[in-house]
Amino acid sequence: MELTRKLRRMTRKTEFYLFIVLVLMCVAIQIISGGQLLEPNTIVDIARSLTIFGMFALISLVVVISGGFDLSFPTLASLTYSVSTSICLSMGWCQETAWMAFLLAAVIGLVLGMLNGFIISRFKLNTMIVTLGTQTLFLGISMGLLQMPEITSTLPLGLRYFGEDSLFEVFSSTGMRSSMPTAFLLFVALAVIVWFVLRFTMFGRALYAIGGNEVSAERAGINVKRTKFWLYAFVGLVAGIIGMLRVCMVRQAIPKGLNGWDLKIIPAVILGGASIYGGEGTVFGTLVAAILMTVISNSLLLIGIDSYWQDFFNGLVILAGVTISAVQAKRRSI
Amino acid sequence: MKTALTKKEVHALFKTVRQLRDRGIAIMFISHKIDEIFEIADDVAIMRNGRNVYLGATSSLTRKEFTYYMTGRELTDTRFCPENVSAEPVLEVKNLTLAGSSHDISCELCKGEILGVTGLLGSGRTELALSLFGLLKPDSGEIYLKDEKVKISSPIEAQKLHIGYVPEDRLTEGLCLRQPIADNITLSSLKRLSSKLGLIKQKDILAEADVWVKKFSIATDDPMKHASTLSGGNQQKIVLAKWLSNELDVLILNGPTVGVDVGAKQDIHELLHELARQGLAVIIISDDLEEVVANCSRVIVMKDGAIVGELQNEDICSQAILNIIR
Repeated sequence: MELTRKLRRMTRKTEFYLFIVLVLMCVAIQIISGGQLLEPNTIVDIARSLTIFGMFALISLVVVISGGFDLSFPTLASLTYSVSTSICLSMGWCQETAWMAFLLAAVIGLVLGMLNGFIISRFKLNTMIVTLGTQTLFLGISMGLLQMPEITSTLPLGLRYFGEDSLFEVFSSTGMRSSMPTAFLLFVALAVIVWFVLRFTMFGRALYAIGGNEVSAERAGINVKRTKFWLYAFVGLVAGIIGMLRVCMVRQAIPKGLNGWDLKIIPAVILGGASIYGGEGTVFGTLVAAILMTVISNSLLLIGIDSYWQDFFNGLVILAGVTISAVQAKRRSI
Repeated sequence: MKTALTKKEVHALFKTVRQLRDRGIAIMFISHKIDEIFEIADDVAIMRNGRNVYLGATSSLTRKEFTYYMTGRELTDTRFCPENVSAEPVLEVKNLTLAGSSHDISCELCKGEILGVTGLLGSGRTELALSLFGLLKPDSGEIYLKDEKVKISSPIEAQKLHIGYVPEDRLTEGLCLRQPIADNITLSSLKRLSSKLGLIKQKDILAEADVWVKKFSIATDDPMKHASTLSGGNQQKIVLAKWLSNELDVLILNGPTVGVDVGAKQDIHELLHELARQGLAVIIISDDLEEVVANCSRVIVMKDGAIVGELQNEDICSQAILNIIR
């Protein structure tokens, strides 16, 4: 009885169908590409692409669950990593290890996130509009006020080493080398942390309640102001770290490096089953969606489709996901 | 569904409906209010659990039979008899004034009492409730809780003072419709259900929800289903459960059975009687005179922001209340 109930509940969720789509898609690509998808190289490459994308998707998930949208994370992260890298350069830090850069990134990210949190919780403004504003603000600070340079060849060695640091390497039959970045562990850790917070802590439950019905949550005794403030503050902190991580992996710190990522990440989060109205969403769904989109963009080449078609396919997948999500929502409200 | 119309508008609507019927138009009137059905309908089809349980003229149906068909149970109207009323008041309001809605309100509430606050729309009764729950700041006046002067500045403060409020509009203020029933029930008691480290286990949530589902006979087979899957009466029950999950001294209910079917209405009323008997101090704000008469041991009538009358026990009846309002 209990088991059938659980099964029934599971099949009603978007995440279930999304997972099936992922499996089917992988099978299809595997067949069409003649077995290239499941080769160790491809899998490691996909994992590498997934690291940053997935981490940003996870922090966006928490915000969407609370009923908001954080559109500022790309420029928040890029301002953070630009400043942090510049400081490391001028102070001569991070010649061997990357700790200092990450610490700086965390602090700066936290402060910037607190700015978001303060405006949103204090003035009760629409989060999309506020973060759209801070997105531009951060970009302006980075490029206009501070005139952050493009740091490529002068990147502190410690960051470069961390970016090259790998867990293991795989070699293909053609001698091509793919290394699994150590950073992937951070992605896994973040996924576990977010899952834990959402499921087991009061903070997590408060997020779902606020996203579900902010007024009811407030009436029921949840401190909405404080929850929202710390939500955006922590999102800023983690975004800063993720940005720094990306700098290490691509070995450059360009001020506009993450532009446009908000438009890539948020649809993926919605595809993963989170409602645009808030109150719903799971780590599992977001991960499946992130994997799905990464697999698609990485494997189009494997089956011989031009990489120019990537946006087209990404768009199709997003449309499909949002439609399914809407249909499910309609079904549940009857 | 005419729950939002006042009596005058209801009369006007019925007049129009009768005119349409006389012109030869067939009218299907869907409602769960006994009074309306008996007033306007020539024939009635009663449905319960997806089945048609009665089909016939309203003239050959008694009210008791009506409620029996609708709910499957015999419902008796029991008037509330207060027991164990405390000698000392648990809540005292002195000269409370809210600019624009009420002025100089003074009243007191003892444990074991169910106080009814009634009056026409705009009499200031909702505002009084909101100021007791920290949603409106009074411009002057004092509130005493257990003999101590308190300042209720927000719902969080009110909760700390063990005051609960079941709002007028459960859909926008009382529930998170797209959240599971269990989550809605436990929303106000998360701190209590969390361990020392601040962690909450799903099975604790479900256990707590099960207690209330059984206690209130909430009609659901799965407490993880969304709250939107419940009927109005059951939704109101989970809002109640949410508040009773905490230890309360005072519970304020604003329109507790609006949009609630007759069976759930009876359940909720019985629950309130039981709670009062166990020592809770209850305030019911309602403009359903039948509800006020059957459930309150004391009634204060408000008009234009002031208290214009107070009735006790046996003196409480619809006519007396109407007399005071006029």
